[in-house]
Amino acid sequence: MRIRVAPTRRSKLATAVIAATAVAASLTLTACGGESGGSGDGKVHLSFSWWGDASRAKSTEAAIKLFEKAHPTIEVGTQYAQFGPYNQKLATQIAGGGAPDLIQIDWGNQSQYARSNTLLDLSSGAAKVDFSGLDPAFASSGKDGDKQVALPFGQTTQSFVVDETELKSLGVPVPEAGWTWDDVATFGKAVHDRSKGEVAGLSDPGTTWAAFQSWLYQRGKDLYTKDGRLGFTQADLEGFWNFCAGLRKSGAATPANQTATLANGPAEDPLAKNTAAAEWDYDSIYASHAAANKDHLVLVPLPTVGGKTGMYAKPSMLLSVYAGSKHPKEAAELLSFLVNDPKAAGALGTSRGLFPNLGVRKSQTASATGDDKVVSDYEAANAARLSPTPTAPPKGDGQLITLMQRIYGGISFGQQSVAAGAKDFMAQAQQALAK
Amino acid sequence: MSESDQALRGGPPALFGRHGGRGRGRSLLWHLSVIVVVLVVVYPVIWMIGTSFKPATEIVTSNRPWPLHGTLKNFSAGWDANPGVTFGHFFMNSLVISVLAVAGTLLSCSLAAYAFARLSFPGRSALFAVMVVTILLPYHVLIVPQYAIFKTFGWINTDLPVVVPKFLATEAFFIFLMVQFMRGIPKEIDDAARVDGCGPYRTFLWVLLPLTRPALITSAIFAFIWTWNDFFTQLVYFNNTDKFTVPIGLSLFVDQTGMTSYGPMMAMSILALLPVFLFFLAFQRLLVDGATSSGLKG
Repeated sequence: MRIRVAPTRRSKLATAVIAATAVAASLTLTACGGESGGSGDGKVHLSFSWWGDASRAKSTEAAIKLFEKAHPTIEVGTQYAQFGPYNQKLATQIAGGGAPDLIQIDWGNQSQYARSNTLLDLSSGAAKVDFSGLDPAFASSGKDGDKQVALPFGQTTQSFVVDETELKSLGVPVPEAGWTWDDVATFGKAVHDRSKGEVAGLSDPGTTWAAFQSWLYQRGKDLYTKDGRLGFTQADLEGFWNFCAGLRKSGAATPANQTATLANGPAEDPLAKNTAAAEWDYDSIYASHAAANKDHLVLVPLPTVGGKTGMYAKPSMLLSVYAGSKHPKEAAELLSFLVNDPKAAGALGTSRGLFPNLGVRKSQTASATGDDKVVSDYEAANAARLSPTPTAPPKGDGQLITLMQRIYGGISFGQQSVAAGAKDFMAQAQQALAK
Repeated sequence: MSESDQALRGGPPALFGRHGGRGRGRSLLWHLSVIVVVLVVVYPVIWMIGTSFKPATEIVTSNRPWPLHGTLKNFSAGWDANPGVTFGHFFMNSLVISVLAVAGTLLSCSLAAYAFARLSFPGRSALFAVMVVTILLPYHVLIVPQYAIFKTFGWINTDLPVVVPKFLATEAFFIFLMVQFMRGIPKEIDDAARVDGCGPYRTFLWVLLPLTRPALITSAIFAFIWTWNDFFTQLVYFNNTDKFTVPIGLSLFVDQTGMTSYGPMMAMSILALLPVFLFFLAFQRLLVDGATSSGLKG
């Protein structure tokens, strides 16, 4: 009897489940139907992906709108995500054969993608782009061997971001171009002493891979050789780290726990928390530093060795045409618009660094205001101090960036000596590059 | 510490609770320690709520969890942060795929579980083993081949790659959960149903499915929360801004190379937590039911 009663009562639930499934199935089917109505309008549909935040999305969408206006037969669908996930997604798309037509790539990934033949040559063939308006030395940063696999989508340069307000209140002068590493130590010590130990002169650069590159470049060496091996010796690395450790011990640079927060980005680093008065960074990050600080910040060129700053014009990011693209010609047109056209420059602003086309950059510099003006003026004043741009870093570069943070972090927390750390680094770095 | 440990495990011992002064002291101590633990656990949430009302300059510079100069701007800024679409659009997208995922999981996994638990067919134990092993496969091993397949189908940038697998019983964890639950239901009930004239389908629909309700509810809650919070699958398959879901929208507030907008991000995070919170609240009673009463006993 019981069992008989149960089914009639319970069958309501069963009906509900079936109804839900029916609804789900019909929804799924409508979604399916909506997909097919794409390219029937005679237009070319391009896809373009980049990384960045919402504010960059707005400026990029504005530039795309201008491109579509000038090319009524092309429609551009855009995809964007945050930097880390963007690269994971791109790797999946490339492996699965479904990457967008035009891709924004990171310099560190360029060699890897170029070697797996996923990027088209931009100097000839279907995706030919006119990049004669760019500085040829800077444009060659997008080369892999003889192939122009990418073009820079913005220029940035190394700098020290310095807290002018803090220095004024302490009575320490802002460092000037042409200063040396000895001056860095004196400057840092002065800030430390005058603030009674509350503020360090600078964030310890020992975890920063790119700062080490500048250090080597000033001495006529580089991180990598042409064939993608390590271009420096263990003694070079020990020299850099011993100098940084000296700064840290004298109080000129931040202690280990504060240095570790550098990895969190400009909003939470020692400069933003007012525990350091200067920090090594690329000038394209200046606006983010300025937004996170109440104090007024200025840009100062790197310290010199024998008059050399070791600074160079670095592509903040690059653009490439995907080898699997069905519309390489149109993708190349969009690429050319984004690196050459004054209208694109107007819409994009400088959130990606200086505009690639030199002629357009000049007029952009002339009309710049606010944070953009600080960066453009800094770049213009230091153009003569730049060394040539090195070739793109090999595959594995990304691992070395985190390896540097981990091992120097261990050294500064007192877990390892500089010599032992440098030895470990060399061994692990060679392994990472050999893969 | 050991005292509060004991308190956490067993609550105030009834023996002392009934006595006068000393018992009250114990009970007070117990409550105090519980309050401290709750504060520690809840602090991030309090900080998040406070931060969502702080102006941008106050977020990094002050350690206070509550705002000095409260503002509602973060909510409007976060809502309209992306060009062309509002955050409400992301909520709708998330809701659609989460509800479909729940429906798909319940339907397909309960059917599969019924087959494994009650029907006998050749290769059943081997297939069951294979299914359990798929729980152990890391997601990153599957994503590239899956992407290639769905691309061939032309399903990229639609809801299909996220929803269809749920209708095909690919979530082995839920099948496993339901199988274990169904095995606890006495077989005699099936026999009785058969005597009354039910075939396998009617036995499933009218007898077993209602009895597995606690397991179904547990699965529904988890399927909803997992889909609502899932970031990577949705990131990979959705390309256009108007297909974006809440987790993707939230991730766009943080960028290492650009500005990080903590205020709007916290404001939208609170809104994103609400559905999960409400869903949990609504089904919490049933969840406890499921844990305490497992079908029929005796």
